[in-house]
Amino acid sequence: MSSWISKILSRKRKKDIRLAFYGEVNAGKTTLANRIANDLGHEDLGPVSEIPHETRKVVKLENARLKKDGYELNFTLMDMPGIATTVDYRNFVKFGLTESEAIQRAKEATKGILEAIKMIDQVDVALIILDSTKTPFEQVNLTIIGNLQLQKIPIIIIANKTDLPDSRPELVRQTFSDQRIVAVSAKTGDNVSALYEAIKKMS
Amino acid sequence: MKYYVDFITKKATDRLTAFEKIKMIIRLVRQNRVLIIESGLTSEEQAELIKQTMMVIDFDNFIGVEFFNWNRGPTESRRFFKKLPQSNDAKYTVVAPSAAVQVIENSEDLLSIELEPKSAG
Repeated sequence: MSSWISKILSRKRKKDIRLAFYGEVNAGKTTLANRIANDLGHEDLGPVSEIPHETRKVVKLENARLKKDGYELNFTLMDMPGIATTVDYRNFVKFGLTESEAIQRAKEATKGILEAIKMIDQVDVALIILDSTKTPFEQVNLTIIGNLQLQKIPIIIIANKTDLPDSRPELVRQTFSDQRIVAVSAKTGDNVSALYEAIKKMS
Repeated sequence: MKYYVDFITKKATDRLTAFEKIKMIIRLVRQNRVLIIESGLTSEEQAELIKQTMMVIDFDNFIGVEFFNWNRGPTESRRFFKKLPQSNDAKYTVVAPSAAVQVIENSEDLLSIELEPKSAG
């Protein structure tokens, strides 16, 4: 068992582990958070949309309990707004929003990104959700991972969207060969059990 | 719309605190400059660049930045308001106004971008 895992669990065993979902916009963070919440007997954390920046505030679910092979972990799930370096309301208009709706969404999105970055040091374990149909070299992923590592926060990288034909989880594995990687489809639930295994191995 | 490419030496940024460095980057990028920064940006500086960018986006004239960092070695800690030279393995970072940039290729070994003014530029 890795020392950092032992450390985090010995520290957090008595209370909730703050499990955060970080990643780019539309990587599937909320889809995965909802999947886990449902599996643990809770309702969805938030709506999922093809329009970018659907999650614009940190959404928390407390007292999410994972029971696995006689072990029990308590989580606070924290669905973070997607991180981006640019926000253009015109992109939202393309999805049918009015200009005023799009501008409001864009304003909220910038605040959400700020909030998500500021909260990096307030999580115990981070899931970094990557869209495995895209290049893993997206700068925001590298930036998030770098800052989590600086804070010595353990991470699991999720190569998401394996249900899509362009998915290349092996590229994610090559790129982050020194990290714990789990390839899943949050949409279909495929291999999400392996994520639970990865989390369980922390115990 | 004209865009300019500025090469900024490590010597120039080593004179600045990290806070001053990010302020300078934002100011120049808002003047339609594509920056190639020899010192690169630390992980903390990258996060600060995103945060400060979010605070100055105005949707009409400035919609954000694109940046590409080759500083992918062990993450280095740098006190944000201290003037500390970066380690010798620091490499370069490209920062550009988002409205100007179309990424052609972004891989481990190659960054290829096209400067193409978009609507918000």
